[in-house]
Amino acid sequence: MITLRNVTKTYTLGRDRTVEAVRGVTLEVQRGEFVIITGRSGSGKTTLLNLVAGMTRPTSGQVLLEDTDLWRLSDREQSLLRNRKLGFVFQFPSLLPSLTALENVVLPTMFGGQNGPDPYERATQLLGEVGLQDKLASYPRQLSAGQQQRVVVARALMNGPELLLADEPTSDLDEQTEQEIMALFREIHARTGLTILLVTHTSQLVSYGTKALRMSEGLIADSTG
Amino acid sequence: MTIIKVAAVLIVVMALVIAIVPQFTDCQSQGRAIELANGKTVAMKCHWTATAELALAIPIAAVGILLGFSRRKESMRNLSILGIVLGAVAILVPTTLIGVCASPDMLCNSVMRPLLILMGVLLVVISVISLIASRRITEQPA
Amino acid sequence: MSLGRLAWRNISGSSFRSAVVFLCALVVAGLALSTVLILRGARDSLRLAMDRLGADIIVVPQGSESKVESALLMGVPTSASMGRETVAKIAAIPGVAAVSPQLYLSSLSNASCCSVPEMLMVAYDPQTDFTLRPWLQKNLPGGLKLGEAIGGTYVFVPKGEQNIKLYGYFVTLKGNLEPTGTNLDRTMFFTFDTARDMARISQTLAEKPLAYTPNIISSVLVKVAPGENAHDVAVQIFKDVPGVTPIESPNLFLAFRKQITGLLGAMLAVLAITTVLSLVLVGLVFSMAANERRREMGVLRALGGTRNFVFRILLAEAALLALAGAVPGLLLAAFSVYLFRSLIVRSIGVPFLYPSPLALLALILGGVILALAGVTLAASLPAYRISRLDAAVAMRE
Repeated sequence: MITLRNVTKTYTLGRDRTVEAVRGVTLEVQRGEFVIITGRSGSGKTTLLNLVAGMTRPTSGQVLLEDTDLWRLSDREQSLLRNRKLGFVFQFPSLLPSLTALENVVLPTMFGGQNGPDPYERATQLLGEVGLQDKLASYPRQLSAGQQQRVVVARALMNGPELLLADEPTSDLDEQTEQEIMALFREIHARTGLTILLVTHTSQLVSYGTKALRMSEGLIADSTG
Repeated sequence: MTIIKVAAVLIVVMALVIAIVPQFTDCQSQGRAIELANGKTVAMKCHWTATAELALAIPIAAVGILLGFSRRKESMRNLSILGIVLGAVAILVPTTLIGVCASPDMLCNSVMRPLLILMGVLLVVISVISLIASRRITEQPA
Repeated sequence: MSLGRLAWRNISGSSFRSAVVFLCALVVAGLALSTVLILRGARDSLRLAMDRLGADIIVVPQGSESKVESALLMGVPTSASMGRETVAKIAAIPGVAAVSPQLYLSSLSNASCCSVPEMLMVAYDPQTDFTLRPWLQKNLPGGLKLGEAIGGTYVFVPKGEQNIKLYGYFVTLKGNLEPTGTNLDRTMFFTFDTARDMARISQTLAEKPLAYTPNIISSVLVKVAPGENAHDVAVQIFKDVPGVTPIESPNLFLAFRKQITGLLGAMLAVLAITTVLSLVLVGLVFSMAANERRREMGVLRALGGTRNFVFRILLAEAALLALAGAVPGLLLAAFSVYLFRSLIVRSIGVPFLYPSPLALLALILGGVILALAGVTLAASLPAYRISRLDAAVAMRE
């Protein structure tokens, strides 16, 4: 469902210093795969994820999401697509501090005009699925890092996305919590068949996925699965 | 929480103003008093207003200090209600309960009375805000 | 969850930057309204006083212009006087349509009748008067009889009494004039006959007799014939009638008007500086805040927010803060100016009239709009910059 055709991304960092974060990647991800991308820092894996999400524009090449060239869309269309089809889990704490857990999970419905069932009901259900049914009214500052990431996962699933993108979701967590979160991803994948693209620098985690890619210096070095 | 702490500080400041300013703006401080036929001087109304407000300033300051140190939702709520009541009394003293001299030329009329009314109103408003804020507090789990 | 609700939640997590913008809006709005109220009040007050006097030219004893103006506006008593024969001389000037003399007397201190210790009493000639006539025709068709008076808005009969006692003489208060914000509000008007009567009675019944000299007047009010040039008439009066100074109505209260202009300059300068500083401060605070919240905005984009959404939510937060600060600031200013109006008059030396409730509401609404415009303008550049960022760049640290 994701196709990258010879995609490059070059950043300019001030006076004539350029960095080629991604140097010509061609990739296909099938629906239902749980892809784990590993690599050292600076290998370009986060940039790759951002390219897939349409959060950064490729310097050259094409990014297709189910045959739709993301960059042919207007900002509005792109945003709508992101809202409906993608779910995000970030490395940094990404919950809005002034909203409760429940409100954070409901947030994606603000941008889509959902005409489905009551969003708060669905959000409550999702928080239950990630084990936080008694933390609905808690603010992010009242939750542990692991709990916050669970809320983020619930938020990512709110609009029933087709693709879940996770950028180093466990690197700020302790080992036990990391295992719990990864188990959560695996459980969601098994239950719903959601396509997941997860980036991490911990190569031990590749066993959680169905396919593994290793990036190095802006290119895909090897792929297994 | 922060709102309540700020309110507490403001309440103490207002208590100080209510206590101190009337002492220097009543007619007695300007050297005027009523002279009786037997030569004795009697203080005018504004002096009694100033005295009453000084007395009132003490519980107001207490409310402010207690509010600043209180932790429990109930105490914050009760102190805020008390603040509203004291503020109302602070307004009533220079207007209906005791009053000040009638002439706008006198300092007690042009400065003391409006200032006390203003402080009273502000005290009521700040106490109401503190009351609303205290309702919103979710008790921290033990 | 709507944009407005999100904006509200974002600012109510009390933070330093919200407080700064809130305070700036409060201070600037309050200061602006106070300035407008005072200046407008002073201007309106003078205008009403001039209308009340109703004359095109006021002729006063030479050298006493400022004293007379002070008596009328601020209540400083004066003993300026000239002979009654002046009236006929002025009437003889071509272009003069009507003349009417007035005499200014002052009451004793601590008169029981009034809320003020000293009151200006004005004796007028009912045969020739044209300034009080409109009011009298509407409210008191029979005119004022002997022993009757009308007063400015602050003149009243003491509780439990039927009449006002002045110099041992009982005066019946027949009505009150509308407020002007000047000393005319503490002025009592009665006929020359009543003044004479009062002086006579006071010789025996008062603590101090009323100083009254027959055939002495304080001023002559002149109405210029339609089509005639008031200035030319005034010049002619000055030439032909010795010992007097004619004051043309537009020049009346000139000293006070100059004072107001001076005050206007000073207050506007203060206001301008405060506003500029505040807007700069708000802009800075928003820049800092927008930078801090880059990641948050990036997350919103990732969740499906458009660039426009990010811009709008930052502006919405600014607008809400502006509103939250401006409204209490304006109300506080309106209330304070109202409470301290006597002190204001005393301090700035010009009369002052508080606006009507409707006018006040209009001013407050104007203040709200200005605050909203100013703060959102200050916040718009930082907001725009953040919204244009590449979402991925925004989230990089």
